[in-house]
Amino acid sequence: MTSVSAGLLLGEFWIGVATEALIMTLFAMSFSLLYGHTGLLSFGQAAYFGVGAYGFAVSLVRFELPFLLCIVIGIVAGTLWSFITGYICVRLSGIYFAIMTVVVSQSTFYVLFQWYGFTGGDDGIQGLFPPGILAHARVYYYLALIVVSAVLLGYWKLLRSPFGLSLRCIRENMLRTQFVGIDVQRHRLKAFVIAGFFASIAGVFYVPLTRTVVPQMANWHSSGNAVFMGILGGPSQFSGPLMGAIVWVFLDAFVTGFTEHWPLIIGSIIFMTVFFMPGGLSGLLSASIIRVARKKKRRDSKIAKGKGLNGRDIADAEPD
Amino acid sequence: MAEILRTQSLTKLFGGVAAVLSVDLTVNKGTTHAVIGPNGAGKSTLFNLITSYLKPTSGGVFFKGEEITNQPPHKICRMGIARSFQLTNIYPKLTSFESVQMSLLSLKGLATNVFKSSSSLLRKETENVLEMVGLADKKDSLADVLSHGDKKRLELAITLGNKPELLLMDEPTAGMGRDETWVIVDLIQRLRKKEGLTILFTEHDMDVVFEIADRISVLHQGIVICEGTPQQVQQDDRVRACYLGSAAYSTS
Repeated sequence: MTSVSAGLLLGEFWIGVATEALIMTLFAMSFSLLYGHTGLLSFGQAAYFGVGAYGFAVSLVRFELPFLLCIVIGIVAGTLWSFITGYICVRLSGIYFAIMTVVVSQSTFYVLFQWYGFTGGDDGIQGLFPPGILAHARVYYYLALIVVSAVLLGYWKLLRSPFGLSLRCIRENMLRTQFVGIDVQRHRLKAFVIAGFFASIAGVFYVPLTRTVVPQMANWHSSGNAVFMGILGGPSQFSGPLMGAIVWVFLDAFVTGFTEHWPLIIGSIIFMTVFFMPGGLSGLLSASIIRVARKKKRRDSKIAKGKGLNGRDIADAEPD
Repeated sequence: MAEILRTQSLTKLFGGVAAVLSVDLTVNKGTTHAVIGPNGAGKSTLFNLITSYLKPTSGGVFFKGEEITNQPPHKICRMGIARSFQLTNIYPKLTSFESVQMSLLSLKGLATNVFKSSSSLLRKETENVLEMVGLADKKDSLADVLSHGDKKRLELAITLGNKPELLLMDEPTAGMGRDETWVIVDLIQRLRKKEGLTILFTEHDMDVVFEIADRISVLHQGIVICEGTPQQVQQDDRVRACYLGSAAYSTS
């Protein structure tokens, strides 16, 4: 409801920001599925974001394919790239996995950066306008809203499915999971490809918004955005990526309006998040929901015991 | 009695050290078979070889007549061998219920399903397994807030969720108090009677071993030095020598 009315009320600039927040939700999801649910720390999700974006842009400009087909090509290209690279990455664990993802992401970046004839090199590709009414910011916002809602629904189903549980088991104890009959390697690869799929969708839909692609979309700075949004929102909760992306993108748009020291501010925010709320914004929210529910339960049981609701009793019953 | 597990000249060298040397072990169906031996005798290594956590240097492992050497651990589990570890291996941030449910989902081939909602699946079966080990009232507790004894029981429940034919337990009562130990012993007794489970286990507590084992293999420096019924093993000179030292043996 809020998001539908936001589409009607916001001005041109903020509509663009809101669209970016939606698309970035998918990018944050890509990191969160791997880190928050599977225990794989990836610093390379930008590789699939970038390949998705370039797959779309190149097929639109170089091959002049229809818009819809370009979207499909972009998503398929990014997802395929995540399968190929993931096949190698998931064989490694811990810090070696993390390093490998950086290697993949940086390699992807340099290919996009140097391959002038095909990707436009460091100039990137400009003038990528969406066709027809999609060029209107408001219309594009609603398209993004529909796409992101659909993917979020899929993410919700995925996390609650037996497969989602198996990923959390792998995160918690890989050895134990292996010894209850689960092919850990294969499950990690599947998670990696699904994460790559999310990042590719984000990459593809990001392009018509900014109308350009640049190789920097695939480097580790860009991967860092997914990491920060994921951590800020809380990578282990369903709502984490959404909250992280909204707060991050709006802060970005807001703070860059009056200071050039934006990285300093975001750095401080991440610092505070890691120290004071390791569960991120969504973790904080669910913890307070649990706390309120517990208080209510305690108060109800007091009423049931006939102690009444005089303020003192309740206050005494709340040590936390 | 029919053989369920057999190792054939199973050997594992760590550098120049033979942790397990040419072990031929046969476990018969329905028995409770103990592997005992002093620290460093190779008991855990033997378990790790059987379940493919380690690859043997040479030799083979056969389960129900079929060779399972070098099969990946998850395949071995799916064939019907489950194991617990010496240092408890559980899922700290999952509930007891989810932990056991995972094993059952894996057993039924549902672990890769992305369309169903896991919370409603196999509820009854999961609760039955938790009931069996006495954790029914703690099904919604996170695993890492359980007491040490309960964690051990949870790991047992996780292995039982796989409905194994052969259960390997690496020191099921390690680090437990007297009372807790006998609760576990009771539980194991009930399991073998009710489920007809074949159990292969290691244990340092000899009271436990002689209470539940109907066959014992003694491992010393990687070699099986004696195998037989509890009575036979108790009276074996070599066993006494390796446990008490040969000096104690020669003066007695």
